[in-house]
Amino acid sequence: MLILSRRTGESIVIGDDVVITIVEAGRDQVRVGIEAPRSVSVHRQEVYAEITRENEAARSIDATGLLTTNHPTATAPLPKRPPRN
Amino acid sequence: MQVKTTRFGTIDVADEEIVRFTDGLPGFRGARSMVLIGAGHLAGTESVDGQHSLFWLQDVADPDLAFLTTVPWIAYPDYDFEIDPSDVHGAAQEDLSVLAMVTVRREDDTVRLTTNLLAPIVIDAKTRVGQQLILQDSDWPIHAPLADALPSGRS
Repeated sequence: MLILSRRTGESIVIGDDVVITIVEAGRDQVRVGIEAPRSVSVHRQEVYAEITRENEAARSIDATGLLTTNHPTATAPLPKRPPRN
Repeated sequence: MQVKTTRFGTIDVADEEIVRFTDGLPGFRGARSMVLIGAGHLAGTESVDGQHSLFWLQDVADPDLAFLTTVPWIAYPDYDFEIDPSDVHGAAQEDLSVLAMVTVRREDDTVRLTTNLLAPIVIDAKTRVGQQLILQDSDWPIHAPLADALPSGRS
């Protein structure tokens, strides 16, 4: 792992278009600003890991007896979003 | 084309029914082409307008890979989140279909169903491009109860 020392207000550039700036540094917490193209997804690591775990739990569920249609045989159209109030 | 599935056998799918996930899903980066299969609604509940409230999101390439999803507004009518149009390749809000992953946990003789409202699946109905968003700074839970604990296994 590359480890760099930075002061508040200083930045790190990753590739051509990702810039990470140290906004504020406290005793045991730092605030980090991230500029990246929209195509680069940026997530807190523990949140991303939790979503990954939840997806893994979701893929192997046993839905026996829980659904009105246990053996569907056809594709379905996309559900429409209800109008917003 | 014909799509082989472990749960449902072989299903006929028109090319235009395929939803493309260009980045796959978190934990399943290879899940690039999926189809929606209607799954009715939860046993013991009423259907809403005769529509499916549950859908299987079935991977086209991996017969074994399918996720149960729900239309989140059925259980959570006030569910909402802000989407920056650039997060969804410029899709208009009204063109987006939204689904939420369902997880089933069986403990002894009860079944707990929860749905992941923090990471909704959004699909642009016009381009049929989908992605699973992870909402930033949102309080919607990963394990939102979908139904009261149900008795297990007996259909």
